[in-house]
Amino acid sequence: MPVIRGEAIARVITTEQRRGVVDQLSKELSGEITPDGPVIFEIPFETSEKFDVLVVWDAWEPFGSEDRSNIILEVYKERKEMIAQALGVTHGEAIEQQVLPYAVIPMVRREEVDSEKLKRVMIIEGGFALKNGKVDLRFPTMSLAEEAHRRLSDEMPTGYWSIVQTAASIPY
Amino acid sequence: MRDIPPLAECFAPDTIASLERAAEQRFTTAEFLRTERRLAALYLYGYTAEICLAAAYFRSAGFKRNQTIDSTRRKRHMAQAKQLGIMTKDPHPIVGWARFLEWQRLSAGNLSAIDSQRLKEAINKGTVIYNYWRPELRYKTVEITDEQINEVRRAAKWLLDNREKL
Repeated sequence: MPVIRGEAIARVITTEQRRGVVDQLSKELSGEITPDGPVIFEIPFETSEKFDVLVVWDAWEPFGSEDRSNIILEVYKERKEMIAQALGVTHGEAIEQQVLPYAVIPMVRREEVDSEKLKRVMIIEGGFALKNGKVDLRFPTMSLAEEAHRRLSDEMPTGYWSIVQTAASIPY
Repeated sequence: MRDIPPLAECFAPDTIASLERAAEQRFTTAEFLRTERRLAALYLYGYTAEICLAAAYFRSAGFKRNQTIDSTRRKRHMAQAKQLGIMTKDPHPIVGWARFLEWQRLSAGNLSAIDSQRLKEAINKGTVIYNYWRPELRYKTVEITDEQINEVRRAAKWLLDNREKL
């Protein structure tokens, strides 16, 4: 019988790699747009000043859960005391774990609007540019999805925007 | 004809207080069923344990007693537990909640030896219950023995009695 040996995969995060992630996340938090940057959601509590922070970013992939949370807390500096939960997930994990259940999607025919412009406005609102060229715009709460829906409807009424609650990825 | 709103539209959001009340009710109903309907009783003892552990976790995570725990927030916390490798993908992970509770208490620090022992015991109780309990029981007609129902009952009662100390 054959001997089948699994290969251990050790993930070593270098200091430079960590610093790069911290720097990019800091820039995004201060409002600077960076290439392939994260989408940061701050989700308030109804009856408290605290909020959850959800950072969706494929750059998290090699980092462990606690590393991700610690990096988020580090970047928030003195505001970290206000954070109830700091969670970092990749886009794939976000879909799998259903932490972004509200998708905002355009209900247009391909010829009706400029497809590239549609994708651009979706990315500005926090859409994830996928490797296949499509964009997935999703939110962790209905109220955040509604706010984005309102802005998108103002910006591009011909997008005929809709909000869908779904666990599946439905990119445009 | 009078409009009757669907029950699902009348649900109040979950809070630690409402979860603990639900756990007590599931346990009381299980006690009624224990002698005549053992499978149904075991099913409810399992949910008693899951609800107690989830409520204890959210308390340890800093939630106030009447603070809303909506389903999206609950999913985010479960996502973190899955990332940490201490909760499975099972939608009702009794042992996962117990482990996540222990992790949260350890992260907060200042855990006494008694508290630490109690949290280990909560994991043990969850494991005992999960030996016999699954959500799929609702589709089954298997016979549950006295020994099994008593073991699960003891573990669920321990979790219910100790819920505020976890």
